[in-house]
Amino acid sequence: MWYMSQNTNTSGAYCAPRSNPFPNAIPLTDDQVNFLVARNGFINVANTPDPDIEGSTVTLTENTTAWEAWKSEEAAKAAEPPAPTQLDRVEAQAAYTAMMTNTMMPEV
Amino acid sequence: MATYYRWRKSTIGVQYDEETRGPDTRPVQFVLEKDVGSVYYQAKGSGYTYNGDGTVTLPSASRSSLSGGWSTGYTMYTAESNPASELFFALAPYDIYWKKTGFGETLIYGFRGSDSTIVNCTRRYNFRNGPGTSQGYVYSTSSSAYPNGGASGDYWYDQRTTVTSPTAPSGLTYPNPITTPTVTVSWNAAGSNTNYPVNLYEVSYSTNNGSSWTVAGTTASTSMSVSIPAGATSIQFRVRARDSNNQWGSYVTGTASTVILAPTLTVPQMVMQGQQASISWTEVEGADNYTVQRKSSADADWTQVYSGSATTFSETVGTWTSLQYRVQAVFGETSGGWATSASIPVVSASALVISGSDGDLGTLTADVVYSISTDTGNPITATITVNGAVIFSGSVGNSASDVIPVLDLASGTGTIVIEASVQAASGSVSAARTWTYTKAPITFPNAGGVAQLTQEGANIWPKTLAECVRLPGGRTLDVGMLRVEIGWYQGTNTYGASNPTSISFSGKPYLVFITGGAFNSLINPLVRRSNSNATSAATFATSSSNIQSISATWGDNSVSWYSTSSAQGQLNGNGAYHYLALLLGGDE
Repeated sequence: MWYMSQNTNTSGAYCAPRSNPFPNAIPLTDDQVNFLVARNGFINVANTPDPDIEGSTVTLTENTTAWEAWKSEEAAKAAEPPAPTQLDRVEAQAAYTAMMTNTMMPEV
Repeated sequence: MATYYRWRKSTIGVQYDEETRGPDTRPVQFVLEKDVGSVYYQAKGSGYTYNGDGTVTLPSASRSSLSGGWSTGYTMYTAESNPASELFFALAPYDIYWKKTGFGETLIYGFRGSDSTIVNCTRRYNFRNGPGTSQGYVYSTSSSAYPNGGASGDYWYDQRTTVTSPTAPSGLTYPNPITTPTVTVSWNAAGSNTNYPVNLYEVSYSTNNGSSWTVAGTTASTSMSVSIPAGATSIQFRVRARDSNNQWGSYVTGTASTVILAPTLTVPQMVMQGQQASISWTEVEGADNYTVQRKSSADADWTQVYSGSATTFSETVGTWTSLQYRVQAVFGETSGGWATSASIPVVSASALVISGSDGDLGTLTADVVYSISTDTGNPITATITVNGAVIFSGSVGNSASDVIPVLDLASGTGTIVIEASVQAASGSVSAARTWTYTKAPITFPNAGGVAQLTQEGANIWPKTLAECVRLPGGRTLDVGMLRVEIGWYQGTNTYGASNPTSISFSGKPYLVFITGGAFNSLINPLVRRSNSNATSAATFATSSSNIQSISATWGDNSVSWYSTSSAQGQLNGNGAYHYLALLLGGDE
C-alpha cells in the first residue's frame, strides 16, 4: 500500500507516493502508483473505489489537460540554453581571475 | 508317564554247589584265585558231621602246623603224598585238596576269605553269588542300570520288571464360568510307583480348546493361582506331576471354562464432598451392560447406582467419609465378576475451596475475582493458567483472594484455570476451577483522535503513553526521545518550485538522508537549520562533479524540496527513493 497527499503541487501534479502513512493521506495500490508515476503525478482523484482494482479506495483518472500543459512547458525549457549554475559561475570567476593575474595554467 | 525298571535288591548270599562223587582216592583240587591269608571252609558229606559254617583258620605262613586243628574229624595234611588225608592244604600256597574215600557221598563245599569275600576257584564247583537278604527294590529308567541276576557293588540284583510312575494327579478343579482375573486351580496329589517321590506339579492352560498349551507355572503344592490371559473367552487347564528323578507323569486335563472377566475399574484416589466422583472401567468384549454399585460410609450394603452400556459414571459425593465402587459386566442373563475399588477417602467440602463454579463467565466487563481457602491450616499451592500460559504458581498461604485483571486477558475467547492443592490429614487434596470467558476487543473510532483529559482546566491525565514516561531531567518521552523513521517514495519525474517533492513523518524531522533513483550509491542529506519551520538551502550530489542546489521547506511533521535543474537532481526521477529521518517527538 502506498500513500499520497490529498493536495496537489502548484503545477497540478500530485507529489511522489510514499511508503508510510500520514494524516489525511490517500491510500493507493501498486497499480495506482504505476498509473500515477506514468503520468508524472498529473491525475484526478475520485473518492470512490476503482471497480477494476481490488482493494482500492479511490479511482484515478488522467489529468490530461494539466499533464499536456506541463509537458509543453518542459519541452520549451529544453529548447532554452540552460541557465548557468553556481558551479559554472565559480569556474568562470576562477578563469577570469587567472587571466587577469597571468596565472592561467598552460594546457597539456 | 515314565517307564521304570525295577529290580529286587539283596545282600550277596552264599549258595552251595553240590556234587555226588563215587569212591575216589584222588583228591579234588581247588585252586584259589588269590591268597586270602585265611580260608573259611564248609563241607558236608555222608558219614561226616556237617559243621554249618564251621571254619578253620589257615594262615598261609603256618599252614602245616594247623593239621588236625579242627573239630570235624577231618585230618589235614600239607601234602598229597598222604593218601589217607581227606582234606589237606597242599603245595602251592593257594591250593586246597579235598580227598573223599567214601562212596556216593555228597559234598557241599565252598571257601571264603576271612574278610568274608568269596574266594573263587578254578574248579567248576565254586561258590556262586546269589540273593541274600532282601533289601527291597531299586528303580531306574535304564534297563542296564543294574544286572538282572547278578551282583553290582555289594548287592545282588534280580527279578527285573517294569513299572510306570509317577501317576497322573486326580480331581482337577477350577471354576466355570471364570469371572475373576485370577483363578485357583487345584488337584489331588499324584502318586509314585517308585522310590522317587512326587515333588513338583506343572500347570498348563489352553485358550483354544487344547490346540496349543501354555505353561502357567510349577508348584510343589496341589493348587496354583493362575492369571487369565487377556482376551481369553474360554480356558481349560491340565496338570502333571514330576518325581524327584525329574520324570514327568501323565496329564490330567480339565474341561473348558467360559471366561467372563470383570472390567478394570479406575477410581479417583480421593474425592471431596459436594464434588463429582467420576469412575470409569474398561470395556469387556461381548458385554451387554455394566452394573455399578457403590458403598459409602453411609451405606449398610452395596447399592446399585448405575446399569447401562456406558463405561463411565459420575455422581455427586455426599457427606460421606469414605466411598467404594464395584462394577461387573453383564452378558444377557449371566453376570461377570465384580471389579471392586479400594476405599476412596472423602475429604470435607471445606478442605480446599476455590470460589465460583466451572463454566462460562460471559463477556468480561471487570476483573475476574477469585478466592482459594482451606480449613486444614496448611499452605495452599496454586497455579493459575490463562490461555495455556502460567501466570502464577506458588504458595498462597491458607487463604487467598485476588483478581485476574481483565486488561491482562487477551481479547476474544479464552480459558482461565485455577488449580490448587493442600495437604490434608487424609492426604493431598486437589481442586481445580475452569472458566471460559469472552473479552470484547477494544475498538477506536475512525474519526477523532487523542484528546487531553482535563478537569477544571488542568491536565489530569497524559494524552499519550509517551507523555507518561518520565526521563532523567524531568522531560517526557514524547519530547526527549530521538526516533528513527525510514520509508521510501516513488519518483514522478517532475521538478521545480511548482513540483516539489514532499515527505510526511510521525514526528518533527531534523535530518533526512535520501538515496535512490539513478544515483542510488549517493546519500544526500537534508538538515533542518533551526527549530522553527523555515526554508533552508541544501545541495544534492548526483555525481562527484554535479552538485544540485536544493531549496527545502520544513514543516512540523514534513519536509519538501525542489531543484530547478532536473527531476533527478531533485531526487524525483523515475524509480524508488529511500529515506532515513531522525525525528524528535516534540519541541526542544
